[in-house]
Amino acid sequence: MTTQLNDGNNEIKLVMRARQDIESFGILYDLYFPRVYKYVVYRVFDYAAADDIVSEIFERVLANLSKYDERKAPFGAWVFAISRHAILDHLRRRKAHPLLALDSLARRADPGSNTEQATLEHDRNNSLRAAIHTLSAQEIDLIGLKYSFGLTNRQIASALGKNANNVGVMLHRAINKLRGALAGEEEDDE
Amino acid sequence: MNNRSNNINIDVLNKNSSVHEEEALKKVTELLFNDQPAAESRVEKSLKERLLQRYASAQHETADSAKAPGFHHVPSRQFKWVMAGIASIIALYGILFLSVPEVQAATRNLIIRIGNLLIDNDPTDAELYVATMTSGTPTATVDPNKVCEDCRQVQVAGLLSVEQAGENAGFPVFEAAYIPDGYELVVRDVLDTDETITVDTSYRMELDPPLHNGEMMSAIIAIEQTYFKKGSPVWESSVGDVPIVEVTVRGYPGIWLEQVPIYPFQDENGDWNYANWNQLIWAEDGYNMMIQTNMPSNLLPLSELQKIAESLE
Repeated sequence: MTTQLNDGNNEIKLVMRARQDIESFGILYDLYFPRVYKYVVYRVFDYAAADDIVSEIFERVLANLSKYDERKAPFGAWVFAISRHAILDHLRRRKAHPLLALDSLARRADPGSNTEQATLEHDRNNSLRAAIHTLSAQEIDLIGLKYSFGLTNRQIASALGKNANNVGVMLHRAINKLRGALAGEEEDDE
Repeated sequence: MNNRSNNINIDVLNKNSSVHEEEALKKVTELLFNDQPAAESRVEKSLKERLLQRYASAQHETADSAKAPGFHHVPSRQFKWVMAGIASIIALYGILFLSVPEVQAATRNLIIRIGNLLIDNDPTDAELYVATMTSGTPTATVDPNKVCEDCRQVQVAGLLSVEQAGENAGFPVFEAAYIPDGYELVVRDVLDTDETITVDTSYRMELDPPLHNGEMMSAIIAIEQTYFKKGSPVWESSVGDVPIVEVTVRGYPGIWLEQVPIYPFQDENGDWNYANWNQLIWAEDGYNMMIQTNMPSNLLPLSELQKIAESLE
């Protein structure tokens, strides 16, 4: 059978194997690192901090993998919960040590290529991330669950303890807000 | 944030744009889907190495009790006796069978990644299809004989030149300098789907007399070069119970699979059978590569497929 691995059943199989098999854990890491990193960057808007937080998240994932119960929630929702706690811990620490100033996204402005297209893409992505950072924490969580972890509205509702219809409405509102923020930035620059 | 917004240049995001709102929202969701900030990370590789090291140490430390990392259950005395019994049986089984490499591979229920493919010992599409069709309440929705569900054009296997195939695919196409005697080039075509672009090059030889009670009239060697498009997820390819044998192909890690049940068919009595193919799979230069044949190993051995692979240029 050849199928995409984002299919729920396949993912469960992979997670179950990852508990016993190091190679499967490596594959699971490869699948989830981009998702987790994306969500964390959206929340903290800081690459250096994101590197630290994501490291902590995966340490926790590894330490607690045997406790994950696939009957209770999709794996993505479980990782999201760990991610959210790690981010809150980070934000608390940062509040306690305000001198640790926010890193700028522009610090990693090298797109890795000199082509104009790559530069445009890099700038556009940074603009998107900056615009996302203007959303509320709850809105970023919604965006993260949907576009980083790939959950359905029903799964998001379950993860956040909300009604599935409300999730749809809130997501629509958040994306609309995002669109406004992006358009606003564009106008400011003009 | 001041030097980049000019570059957004997405008309649909502009508040004054006449483009319909739904389209604008769709554009934003596309941006969200496609955004991959992980490319900025400086720890992705080192973190993985660290985690895998920790995983390996945890496995090593708990090997005696066969626990996975993070597993802290303390077994009862009765449970320990049961486990000891099972361990003895496994040990005996191991002495009897595990010295044979192929059997070793099969019993491990391997899951292995080759390029963008995750290969495991779960049932093949063909096996799932037959299981469903013979379950008493046949509700099969997946037809393993169906070639493509999201192809960009009607699939009529053509015979393109290497250059034409390369133009259609958008990348250089491998061509075999060696093909066993008697085989004739019959297909060179490009299959373009949402996730992949595959160049299929097939050779055929008429069999006289046919094999398998007259049902197999021609021998086929197919070379598939697949490019997974940007953002394409990892795909799972299940090969049933066949041993997954790790090999090296052109210097790259690969696998050899014998008699994978790929196509189901019913004989004249209505009994289900499978067309079993042998497959040599590896990944090279960003492509997933496969050479497969319907010929059994005694007629077309692995060494011949390796020779074809080595001749690709």
